[in-house]
Amino acid sequence: MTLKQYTIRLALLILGTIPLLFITGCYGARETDEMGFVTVLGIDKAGDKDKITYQIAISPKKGSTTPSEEDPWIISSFTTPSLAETRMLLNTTIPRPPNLSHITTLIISEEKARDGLNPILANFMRNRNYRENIFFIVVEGSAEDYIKQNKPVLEEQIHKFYETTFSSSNMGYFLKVQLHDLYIRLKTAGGSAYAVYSGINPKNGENKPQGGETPEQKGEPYLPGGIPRKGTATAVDFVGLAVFHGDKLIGVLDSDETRAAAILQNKFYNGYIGVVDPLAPEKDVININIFMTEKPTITADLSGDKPTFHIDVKLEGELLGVTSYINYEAPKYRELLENQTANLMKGQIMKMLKHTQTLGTDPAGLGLYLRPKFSNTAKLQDANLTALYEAAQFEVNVSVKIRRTGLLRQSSPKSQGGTL
Amino acid sequence: MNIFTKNFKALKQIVLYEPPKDPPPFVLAEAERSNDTPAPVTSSLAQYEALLRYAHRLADTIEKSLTALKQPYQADKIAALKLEIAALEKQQDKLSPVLETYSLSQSPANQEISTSMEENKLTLEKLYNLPDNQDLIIRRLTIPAQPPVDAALVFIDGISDKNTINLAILQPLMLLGKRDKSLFQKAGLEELLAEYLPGNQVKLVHTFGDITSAINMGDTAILFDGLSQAALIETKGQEHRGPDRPTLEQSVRGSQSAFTETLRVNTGLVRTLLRTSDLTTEMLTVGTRSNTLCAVMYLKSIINPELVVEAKRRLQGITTDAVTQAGMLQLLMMDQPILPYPQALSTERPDRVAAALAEGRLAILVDGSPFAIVAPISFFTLLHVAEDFSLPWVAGSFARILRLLGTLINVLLPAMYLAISYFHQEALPTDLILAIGAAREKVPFPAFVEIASMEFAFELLREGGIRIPGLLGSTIGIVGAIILGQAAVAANIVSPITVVIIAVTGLASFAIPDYSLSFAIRLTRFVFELLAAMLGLIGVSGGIITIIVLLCSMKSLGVPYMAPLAPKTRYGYDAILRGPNAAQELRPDELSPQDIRRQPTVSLRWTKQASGKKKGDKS
Repeated sequence: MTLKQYTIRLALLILGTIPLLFITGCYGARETDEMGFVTVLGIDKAGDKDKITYQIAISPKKGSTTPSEEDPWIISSFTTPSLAETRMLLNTTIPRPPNLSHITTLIISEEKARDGLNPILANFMRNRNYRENIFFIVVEGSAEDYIKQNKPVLEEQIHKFYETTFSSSNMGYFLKVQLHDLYIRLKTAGGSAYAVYSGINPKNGENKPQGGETPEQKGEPYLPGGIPRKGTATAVDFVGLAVFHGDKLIGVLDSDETRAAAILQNKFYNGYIGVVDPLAPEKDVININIFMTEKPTITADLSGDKPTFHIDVKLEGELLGVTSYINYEAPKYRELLENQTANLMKGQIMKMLKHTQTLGTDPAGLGLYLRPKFSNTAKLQDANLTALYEAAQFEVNVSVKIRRTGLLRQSSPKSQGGTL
Repeated sequence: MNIFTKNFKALKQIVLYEPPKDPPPFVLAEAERSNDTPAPVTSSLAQYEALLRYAHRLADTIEKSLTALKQPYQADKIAALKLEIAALEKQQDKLSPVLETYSLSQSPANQEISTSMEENKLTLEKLYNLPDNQDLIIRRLTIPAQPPVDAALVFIDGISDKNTINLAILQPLMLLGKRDKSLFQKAGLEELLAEYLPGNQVKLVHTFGDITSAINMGDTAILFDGLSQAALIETKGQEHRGPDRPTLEQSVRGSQSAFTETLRVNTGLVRTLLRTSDLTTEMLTVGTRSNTLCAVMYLKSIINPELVVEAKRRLQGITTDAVTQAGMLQLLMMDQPILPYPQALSTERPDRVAAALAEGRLAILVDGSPFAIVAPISFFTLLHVAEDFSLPWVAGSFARILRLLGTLINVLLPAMYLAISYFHQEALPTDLILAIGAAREKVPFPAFVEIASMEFAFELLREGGIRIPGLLGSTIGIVGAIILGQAAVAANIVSPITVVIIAVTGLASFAIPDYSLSFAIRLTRFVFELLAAMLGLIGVSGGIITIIVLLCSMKSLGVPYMAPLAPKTRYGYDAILRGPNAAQELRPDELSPQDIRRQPTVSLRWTKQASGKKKGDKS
């Protein structure tokens, strides 16, 4: 074949294929500045319909260094019977077609969650527009109000607020829950679904603790809205855990119980607690940074009708401050403190377990440890693991080792004058 | 003539256009093609002219003989006359109509040298278009032998060495006066060459073809009246540039000499790095008009002999009029000239050539070109640089990975940006997609037009940058890149992210060491951008598959282009990563060299030997 023929053949090939690309080419192409990126989606119950709230990000204005007075988002609510159709309605109110692939957070009102999650998840798990790593929050009150009132100060964009909040959620007062975590828990035998519990704080400084603290602890357990605080921070509190029985919300755990659930799932990294001074219980407090160094050892025993769980938790602590100046660094005093702390943690874990047993939900996933006890899948499917959990007995053993004393190696008693 | 007529004429001159009366300007007339058939040879006139010249010579000789016979007997004169008559007879033999017609129909280059100086001079004049052509010098002289002989020195001014001609040819020949021997005796010429011409390469030839090819190279030919032979003396001496620093393939730790335009200097540069009798330099000529000398260099005991045969077959099979550059020759002899990917390495560094020869590759050097062609190569060779082996292997491998990444970025970055921002917004972090959207807010064009216009501006800068005079080059480059980019952003013609992407892509393109590869990759990038804008990541992945298929199907002088990856061959730790120098035990497997082993498994024998120092010896 001569070069001329080759060129002609090549030209014909190109002329033949390029129009094909245009004919079959994807028409889904959209310029980035021709789309509205929805970052937060809220679902409320409105009679027998749903109220869907969209929070759409407004792109940061080019060149502006000072943050503008207006919020960098649009909030739009619709009351419709179908989630999918709401997108069409949304498109009628904003010029740009909404893009749902950047939704970071799904917010559901407590009322809606009590009706069950399955109808909602049916939309989210199938549609490829939604990512499976969407954060899942159940809020006290209405999702629309929550979205409207959550105005972060440190972050300009709302998606950044949620991303930052949940990437640092290893203190135990709230847990990171994404859509696929929830879905796995809903579909798996053993362990119940749970979600982040959040709400609006009136910011009037009023203290509304939940009560039920152990005698060894100084701090009080809280739920959203109960934390005594004031100031200019955003109104939302992330504290507690919304727990589900099946796909229906059944109750909420307070901050202490949430931390206990985190410890049992090895999702707790470290936290600061105030322990009542074992030698001066009236007014002195010992602040400890406790952290987990080992995965808790959990074994289940299903020899009788009721299962027994043996839970062995190992924690370590670092002294942060001893107000009584008693020498807790010395071995004999340290043991006292270690036992005090261990009792505290054990009490909180027991409280959580009892509470969840009465609610009929298993957020710590202890039911998973029962699964090896069944000889085949059929038997496992017949068994009601949640019912077994409700009837279970627990043997909790917590050991705390205080290994670090901070920058002071030895405390000496207060001087006579009451000063250092 | 009344005033009316006068005014009318003046008005007419102003209003009416009359062409100037200058001679018509030169316009090149279109040649009338007669389907490339050569015009019939009109040789009869030339034939008659040759006969006429013979007749004149005959008359001269008869006259000379008459005067000689009238005078008292002089043995030497009679002997000279005898020889002259013998030469005449020889000439007459050649003038027989059949032979004459044959030799005239041949190209003058194939003609045999005549015994008649006049005939030879006419042939040379015809060959070199004298007297229009001023390059050829014909210096007539008389050699004072017994009897004296008319001779002519023929050489080309400018490519021959005048000192050698003066001192080593003219001087000995003209001082031959004391010699009483005759040149026309048997072996007289050989004696002359052996005793009187101190040139280092001297030989005798019989045809004009030999003469022209020698003097075209700068040699000098001596023609003798009455002899049908010519002596060729080596007097090459053209002006040339000495080896300079490499300009395109600069290196920090490699050698600092580059090839020059003179072939012999270049072969010498390679030989200084490979001083072995194994190194073979074969000379071939390419180009029917340019007669360009090419050297094929290889190591005889290492290279696969089939490679040499194939390279020579291709070189000899090229029929073209002129080859003026190594790059031209590379394209004329490569396996897939239609693809932009270079299938041979073009290098200006003797050390790279030497390293390639030692691996079992061959090099082709072209006279007049400061670049050597190294073949066969693989794609990865093009990403290597000379000093890779001067650096520790970790650093060398790092640099190679960096270059490979640069290549990938160069091909894919703008395409990925287009594909993701058009079709796959979910693949970017929310902040980034919002930032891109915000930056594009005021730009009136689609992202593809932005990318295309910036690419176009960048390519213009690059093309212009080559031609900007050196002193202005850097300034205009900065002005172009910074001011243009800044201004385009300020004028809302492109978004800042586009400028960033094109700038990174441009930077990455300079990480590709090979100029032709860089060009090919840029062309590929444009195709990828088009595919990405039309079909998104599907288009990009389709493009990647096509490119991989294309690259895997390519050959460089018959050797797979993607070796040692595809086909998988024994890996010598010298493709993407490179191993320590001591671990480079094998030559590239895909070259099938005669000797695969480069060095023994333990090449550092000193590590296995005890040092000379005794234990406890502190000195």
